[in-house]
Amino acid sequence: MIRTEKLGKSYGRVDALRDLDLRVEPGEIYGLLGPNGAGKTTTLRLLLDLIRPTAGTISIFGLDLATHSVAIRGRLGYLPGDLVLYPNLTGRQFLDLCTGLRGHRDPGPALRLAERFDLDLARKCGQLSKGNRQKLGVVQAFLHEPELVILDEPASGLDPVVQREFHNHLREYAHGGGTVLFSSHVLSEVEHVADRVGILLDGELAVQDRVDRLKANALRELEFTFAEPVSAQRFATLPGVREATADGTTVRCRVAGTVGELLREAAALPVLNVTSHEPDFEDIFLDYVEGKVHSHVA
Amino acid sequence: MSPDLLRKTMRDTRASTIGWTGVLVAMVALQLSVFPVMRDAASDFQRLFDSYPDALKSMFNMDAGFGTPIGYLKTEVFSVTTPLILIGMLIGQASAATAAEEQHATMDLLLANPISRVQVVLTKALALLINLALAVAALTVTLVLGGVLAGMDLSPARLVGAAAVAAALAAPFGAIALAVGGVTGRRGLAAAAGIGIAVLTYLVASLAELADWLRPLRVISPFHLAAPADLLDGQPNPAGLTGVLLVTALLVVAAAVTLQHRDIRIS
Repeated sequence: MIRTEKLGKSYGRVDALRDLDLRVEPGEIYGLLGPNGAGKTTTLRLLLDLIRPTAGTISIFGLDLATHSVAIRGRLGYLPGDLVLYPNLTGRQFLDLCTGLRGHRDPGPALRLAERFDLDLARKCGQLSKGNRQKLGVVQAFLHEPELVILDEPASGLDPVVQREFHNHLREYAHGGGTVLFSSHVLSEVEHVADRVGILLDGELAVQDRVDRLKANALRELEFTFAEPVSAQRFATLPGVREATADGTTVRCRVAGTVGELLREAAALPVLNVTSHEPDFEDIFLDYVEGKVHSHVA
Repeated sequence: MSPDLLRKTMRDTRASTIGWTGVLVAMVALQLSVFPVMRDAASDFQRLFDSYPDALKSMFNMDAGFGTPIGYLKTEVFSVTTPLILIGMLIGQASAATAAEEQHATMDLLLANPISRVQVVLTKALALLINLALAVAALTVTLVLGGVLAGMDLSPARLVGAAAVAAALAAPFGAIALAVGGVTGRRGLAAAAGIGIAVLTYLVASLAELADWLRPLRVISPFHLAAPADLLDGQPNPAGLTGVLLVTALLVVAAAVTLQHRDIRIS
């Protein structure tokens, strides 16, 4: 559905994006993560042809974006990260404008989605709260029942109830064959909604994999309680141990891969208790951002 | 061309068009209402104007005489005020056309639709052209009706022609604002460029009557090439008009091409 080859974007001598090989397959929900300034919005704006690459190519629906921009944009929906609506139009007038620009005269799908999000279309965009503006932005992205939606921070400003409804809508849309590429800062959102994730770090795709595989390969934390104080140093150099800290008789180790060596070393000491903590997605993300885990693109 | 974007742009510029056109109509109506007084005192005014240097009279289109309908319209209506109002309206609207969409960050959402940037520029330019035509139509009606009421015996065809030339005179300055907005995405800069070049070319055309060394430069001034007074005199300047309209068209194309090939700014 989306393929980029060695995609790059530079502003003068600053590389905002380097060598991005992104693959988004039909029917999947792909979450794009990254700290501020990592290149998420740059990537999405490149895919919308709002900014032009300084290197590489973009293909969407099998078409080259450089030569088929209008045709491609006719088949996708987009929600900008910094959503600004026309303040003097009502929600309904705004949706009518968008349906007209898309040559999609049936407002039915948009009106149904607006009703689902409990959105008042009679109010002017300039009078809407941040959350309601965001709802309207989401509705316009889906109004023509596109094959692909590209959403930049879609849950931003939505309350938890609407977020849940929005996530349900995304799943139903993907289940019906639609494809979603979205960026987010909300890690739980990515964890629960996305099939695959990509993590951008400093303009490069550091990680691209399925969410379940990322969790399976994540650093796990083991906490040992010993009968007497133990130095963390004897664990820190063991294979797979990325981090070891001691606090009195308690030692915490974060481990990649198998834990056999670590358990053997601990067993040689007077162990009173061992507990294992499953990593959450936030830990996984931070481990990549902080360089505790090697990058990999599956 | 996008009918929906055209309607949206017309709606966005409606207040501006009504406002500027209202000022234009009121100003011209006021000027016409004073004509009978000026005509009755024509001999006094003529003695006063006769004492002015020829260059000064030519600079303000006073050469036809203040007491005649043609001379009065050339001096009062078409010399400065009407072109100024039309230019002001166009520069204001053209500088906002694409640059304001970028500065207000609505351009991303607009271009998410299947519409090319060239279509955006051309559609917005068409909306401004329609606004200009509406303002000029109101001006023409005011001139024809006001002329009758003020006892001016004038050819309606010449009035229509002069009003149309005033529109042609304003067009390149709007196109400059559109082009600079297309190149920079900055509304303030676009407006400043349009206003600055309008002032500069007006000075070139008017001061050329006083300074011989400026006379060759008049060919770059729309105020010289598309002077409404020429139409009132029955001496149109087809080459000059064609040149002005050609430059306008080239500037609109430049706006479209530059916007097409650059990154859309995030404000």
